[in-house]
Amino acid sequence: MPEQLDANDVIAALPCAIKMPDNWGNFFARGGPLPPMGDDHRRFPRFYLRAPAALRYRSTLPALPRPDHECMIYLKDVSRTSIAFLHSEQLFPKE
Amino acid sequence: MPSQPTADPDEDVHGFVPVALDTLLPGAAYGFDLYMKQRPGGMLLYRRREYPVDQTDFDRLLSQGVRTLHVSFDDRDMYARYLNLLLVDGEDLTATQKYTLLKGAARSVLSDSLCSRSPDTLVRSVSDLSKQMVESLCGNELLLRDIFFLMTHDYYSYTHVTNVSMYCLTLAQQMGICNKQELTEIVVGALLHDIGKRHLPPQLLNKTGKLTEPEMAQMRQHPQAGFEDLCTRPDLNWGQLMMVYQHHERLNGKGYPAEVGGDEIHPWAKICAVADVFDAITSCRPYRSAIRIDSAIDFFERRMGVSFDEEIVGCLSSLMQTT
Repeated sequence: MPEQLDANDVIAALPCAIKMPDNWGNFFARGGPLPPMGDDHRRFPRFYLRAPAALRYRSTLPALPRPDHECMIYLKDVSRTSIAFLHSEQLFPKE
Repeated sequence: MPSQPTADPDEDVHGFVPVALDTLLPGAAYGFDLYMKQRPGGMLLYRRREYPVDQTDFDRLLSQGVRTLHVSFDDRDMYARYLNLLLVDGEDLTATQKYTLLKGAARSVLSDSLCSRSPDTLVRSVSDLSKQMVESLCGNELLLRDIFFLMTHDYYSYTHVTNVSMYCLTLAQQMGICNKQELTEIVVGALLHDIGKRHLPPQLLNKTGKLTEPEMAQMRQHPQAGFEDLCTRPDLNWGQLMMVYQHHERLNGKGYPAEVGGDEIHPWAKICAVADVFDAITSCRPYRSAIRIDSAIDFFERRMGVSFDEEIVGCLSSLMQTT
């Protein structure tokens, strides 16, 4: 019987170049809804979701070739329609 | 030691926007005064709004090499309405005639920015290249289609992008870029850099008062909107797309839309940022008058290394001192 792979182990094995600031020690401890912000026009509430995750690249823009590969990112928060995460590389709209 | 100019050599023509002769149909009164550029700088009233310009007048202008007249900044909306009536709503012209007319208009206004300004401003050294470039750009149908949208949507934005393309070309050359293909790509990127503004209402683009916070937020969407419009196009390279997406980013990360800074901003976008602001502050805008070139250089020098790239500001400053 093939060995069952644990998702956390797979993610942990991925390359990751994120360097967290020293004072972000409690990054992964956050949970629950985000507090409202002054100029917030969001339609859906956002919730902290702090965990490592896998990001898979696929090239979508003709002028920006992206070789297919995977890397580790850190999830930050989610809402019904979007997700925020930390990554060491700039991503662009429509990617 | 070269002398620092105390005023813009083109100062007297500020407050006017160029209009291509090709966009004016003979035999009609247009509802806006037409001016002719004089050398040295200055504007001469050519025809009052209530008097028509006939074919003989056009022939005479063309025989003198005049391909653009000018309208005052206050009349630019009247001209934009005329252009819209003629090119968008008008049924008198066939699609082919409209295209030919627009192509001629693009050539004239691009020439005005890229070539005609050169003897009195900072692009003397590039005028030959500019002339070839105008011909090359006018053969690029995809580019023409994009800038026509902007021309009919907001005429001021159109003249702004043609000026920015001239400044980008000059700055790029001063930075040591001499490959003609690369320079042409930079000019095309500059012509497209504000293409996202076609999603913004002209009333917002030409508002004379201070923008409210929601209006500012709406205005700040144009780099991303432009990028999203163009990013799947196979005929544009990454540098050109970054000129569209990042021309409002600043070195210190306090720009928009992504608040990136330093090396995360593409070098062409850094050139475009300087050219964009330089044209914005040295041209009349709906909300303020133009400032003098020495004041503009002072503005950049106070912000170099913080908002704008030091080397590019140095090039701009040195270009101004040598013209």
